[in-house]
Amino acid sequence: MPIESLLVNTFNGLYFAALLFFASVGLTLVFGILNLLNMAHAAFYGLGAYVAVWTLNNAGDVTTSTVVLLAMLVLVIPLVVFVLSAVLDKTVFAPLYEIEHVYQLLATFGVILMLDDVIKFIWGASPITVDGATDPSRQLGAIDLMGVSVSAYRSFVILIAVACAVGLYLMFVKTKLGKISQAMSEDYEMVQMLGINVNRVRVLIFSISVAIAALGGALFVPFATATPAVTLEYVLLSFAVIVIGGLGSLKGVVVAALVIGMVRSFGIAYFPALELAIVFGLMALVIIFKPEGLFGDEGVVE
Amino acid sequence: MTKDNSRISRRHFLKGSAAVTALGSLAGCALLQEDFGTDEIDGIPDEPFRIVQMIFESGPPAFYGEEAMNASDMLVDRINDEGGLIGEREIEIVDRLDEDAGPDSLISDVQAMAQEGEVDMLMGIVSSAHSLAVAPAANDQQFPFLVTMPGTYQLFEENPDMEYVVRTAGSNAAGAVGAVRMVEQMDDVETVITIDPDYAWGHDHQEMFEAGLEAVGADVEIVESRYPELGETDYSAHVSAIADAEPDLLFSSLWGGDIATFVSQGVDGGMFEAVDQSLLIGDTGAPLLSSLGGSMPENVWLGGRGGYQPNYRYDEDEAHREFVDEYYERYDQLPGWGAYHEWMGFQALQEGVERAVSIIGDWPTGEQLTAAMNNIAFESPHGQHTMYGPQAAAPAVFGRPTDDHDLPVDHPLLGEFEFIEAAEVNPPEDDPTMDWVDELEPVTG
Amino acid sequence: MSTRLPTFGDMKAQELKGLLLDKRLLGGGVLFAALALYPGLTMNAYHTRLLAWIMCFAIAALGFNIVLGYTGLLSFGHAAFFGTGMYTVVIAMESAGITDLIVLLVLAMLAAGVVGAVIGALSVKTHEIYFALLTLALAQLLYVLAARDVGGLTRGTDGIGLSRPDFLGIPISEAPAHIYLMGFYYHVILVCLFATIAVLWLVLRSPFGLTLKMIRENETRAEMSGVPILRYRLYSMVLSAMIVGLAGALYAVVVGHVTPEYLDWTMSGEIVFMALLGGIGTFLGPIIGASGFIILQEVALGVTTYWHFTMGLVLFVVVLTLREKGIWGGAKALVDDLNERRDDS
Repeated sequence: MPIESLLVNTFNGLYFAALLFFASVGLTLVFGILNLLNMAHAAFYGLGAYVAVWTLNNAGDVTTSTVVLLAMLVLVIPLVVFVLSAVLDKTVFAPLYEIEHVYQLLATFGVILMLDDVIKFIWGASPITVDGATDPSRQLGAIDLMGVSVSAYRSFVILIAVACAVGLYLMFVKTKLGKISQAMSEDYEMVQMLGINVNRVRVLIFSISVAIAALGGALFVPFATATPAVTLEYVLLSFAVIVIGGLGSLKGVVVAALVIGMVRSFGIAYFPALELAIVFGLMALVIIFKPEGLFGDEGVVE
Repeated sequence: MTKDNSRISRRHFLKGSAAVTALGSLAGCALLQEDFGTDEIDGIPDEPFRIVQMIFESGPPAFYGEEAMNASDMLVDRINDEGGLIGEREIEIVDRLDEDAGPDSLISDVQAMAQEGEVDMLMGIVSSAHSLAVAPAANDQQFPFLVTMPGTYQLFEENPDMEYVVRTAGSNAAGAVGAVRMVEQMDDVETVITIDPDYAWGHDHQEMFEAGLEAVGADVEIVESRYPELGETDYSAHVSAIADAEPDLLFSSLWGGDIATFVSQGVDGGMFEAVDQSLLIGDTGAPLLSSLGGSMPENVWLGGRGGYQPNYRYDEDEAHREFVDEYYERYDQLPGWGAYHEWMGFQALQEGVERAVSIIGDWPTGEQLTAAMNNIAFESPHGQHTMYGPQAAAPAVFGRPTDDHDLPVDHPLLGEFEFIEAAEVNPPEDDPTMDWVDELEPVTG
Repeated sequence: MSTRLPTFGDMKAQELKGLLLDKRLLGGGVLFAALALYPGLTMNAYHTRLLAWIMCFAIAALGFNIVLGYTGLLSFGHAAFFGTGMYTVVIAMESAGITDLIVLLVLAMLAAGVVGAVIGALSVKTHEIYFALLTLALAQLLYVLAARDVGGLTRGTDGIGLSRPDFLGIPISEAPAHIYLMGFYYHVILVCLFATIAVLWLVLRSPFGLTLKMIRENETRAEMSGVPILRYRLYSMVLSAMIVGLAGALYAVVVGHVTPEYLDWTMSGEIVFMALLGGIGTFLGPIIGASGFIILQEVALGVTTYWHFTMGLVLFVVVLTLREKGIWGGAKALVDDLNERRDDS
């Protein structure tokens, strides 16, 4: 295979892995630290996509500056969703922490159905594309990467994903919040007995996690289209990621996202007939041979 | 399909009475007594003609559904402003059922409507799979069903004796074979890549296109066939593989949001520069061009089964011009395929009622109405839209994106139209589509 | 006591058992008679069909609950068995020319049992959420096979339409659709539903059923008393698959058209939803759940375009408030509660 297509496929794989990372990292953190299996997690990815496409399409009257638009995607939208999810954590999600996984799974499936209709109520059911004038992906154009022309915007998304992963890692090993979170993932009750306000930690972890999913959706939309199908697609994909990587492991999410991204990218390029089966086949294989996932027996950041 | 109504009734009667004898059951009597609201009524019923639409209101194909609902609201208002069907009986869309609920619900609803007898006709359906499930059920219930959108050629081939079902949408053969005809006229096409959604619509198109090319002896090779998932959001792996392969022609039946995403990512990945020409036949046109804004490459042909492009024969055809203008005024966008399909449906209904009333001098029963909608023709953007039996035969129309148009939108529309008449792209009545495609004759000259 | 999953069967004292059983038998008999006579008395084809639809899914939910309610495993792959049942019928009819209903139903159960054995063998080793996701992934692979028409049997996503089967050599399929359903097929489903209830009632009270219960409640203890846990889980998967396959086979004829959608994970989700709505910790709950789900969806669809929201809200509230009791267990608890209060006063 020629070196150029090798590079392009690697780039595509990295980009897809970045999106998968955004959609699923919060899922694994919320599970690992707060012991909540939130099926609706990736639905916030879909929500982020819709909020972003709406924001970009209405920004045209005010500004078309690429920097401002990117700042909206990377900072403003996640911040808004952060606040929203703090509210949700105190209301809709609060009772879920008390029940067993199976019921968490089913109740949050109910949340997906509700959120889907909320999106439909606000934005309708037709696919929405970002207007050319305020589309950062189009504004930025292509850059030259080792002789191959690739999208500057998508490179930016990959960099943000890397930054996000590094940031999370540093948060867990350097900050107090991170250390408490790690301790909670190991022994929740002990942390509670130490007199730490676990509810505050819970809100923070939950909201950070959901905000990252929304960030992913926001970054996803300039290069794609916001459609009602996005939610369920990423719900399934994010579960595949955390199952392959191992529930509750940050490293697992990174590795699994890369594995799926690469396998899918090269798989589609060279064995197009297999596309539909790639992710599920991979997921089944991993569970059969390593039921706890690649890094499932490790802590959040080991 | 027969137009002799007395014969249809008698056959049904015989079928029914034989079964009653066989079972000694009371249920049969109920069946025979059942009517569907319009039987044996002298003159025109007082209440409006009640239609139930089945359409995607949620889920990805709701894109099509929305256009269809818009158009039918507009057309119903327009018809009612002139007094209704034959100027006498108004139309009312009494309910809309979300196709997203799945065939179980849809079939159950058909049964309920037939049972209650308070609906005169069922209309719509986007999904081919749903049409294949619902049509036989409606026919079993003797409930008139006007299928307006799905294209599967199997609808009447799998269920040849449906007397209560008509379809005003052209079969998907028109798009696929139309594409074959286009390739016949192209020079320098040797390698082709196909990319179609991974469900029946995509596989049917790919198969017909490939078989058709072979039959007409075109000197081309399909080097690769790709099937991305329906609702795919990231085509970049496909895009770079296609760009790498540099085929002479790219063929695709992706539609709706999928084709918008694919083309936009294809532009981004430089795919259209690597490919000489593209044929995007998944009911593409104004909505796609609108959602892509100015970034549509010029070396593509868009279109498919029917001349459903707002600026196609816009100046020549007054009815079309009115339809486009009215739709644009009302919804601030140009009509897409979902809207045009619905327009054809309502014309068939108007025409069918008029014809039935003129023959029998009375308001038609459900089966008389369906029979009257067989073998008719009415106005459409591509000239006469003709029904052969219960199935419309649409021509294929393709065009290239151009900014040179007079409509009040700031995105390109199509120009340089190619029209391929219905007879060239549809099998003769009663010929199985795939057999006909396998034997397709080349068009010479 | 395990809090992981519901406990089943608050059996009363042994001496009461006989009496209770009689009462239940009597109630069941009356219900059976009422349901059997319903189509003939009302001549309502819509209701008949709705009931047939509900009963098929009641069988499916009952079968599913063997795995969730009794064995304690959440499967998200039961669509595989339901779909296998459907496809077996349609392929046997259209390709192999088999038209006898009994043969078709038996074939469907066998085929679903085989699929259940394969998926079960691969997945019973895993736990909880991993079991759910593995069954989901494996079932989804089956969906891919059907949707891509691998092997040329399924005709892809457009699916295959099927005609009506005959019965014991009687060419009953020639009867018009209404009569076939109201005079014959509806009753077949009814008999199958009651047969399923009877069989499950017996099986789950047999040593086999009690072993399953023991495994669910305390796996370690069961293991220490020498129970081959994995093998029992596999058995319960196969039994469950066969019953769900029967439901699919019966349903194929009702709906008349089989598509890969019935193999998709959303279908599995619906079956889970039904069982849970009715109450997975109760014997009859899944039946109530199937009825509730289908009626709720029909009503919600009729009154609002936002029916997803309605369904989601119901699921959310039921799960949070009633959990394993479901609406059936919840209603029973309410009745018990009222009785107690009456006794007290």
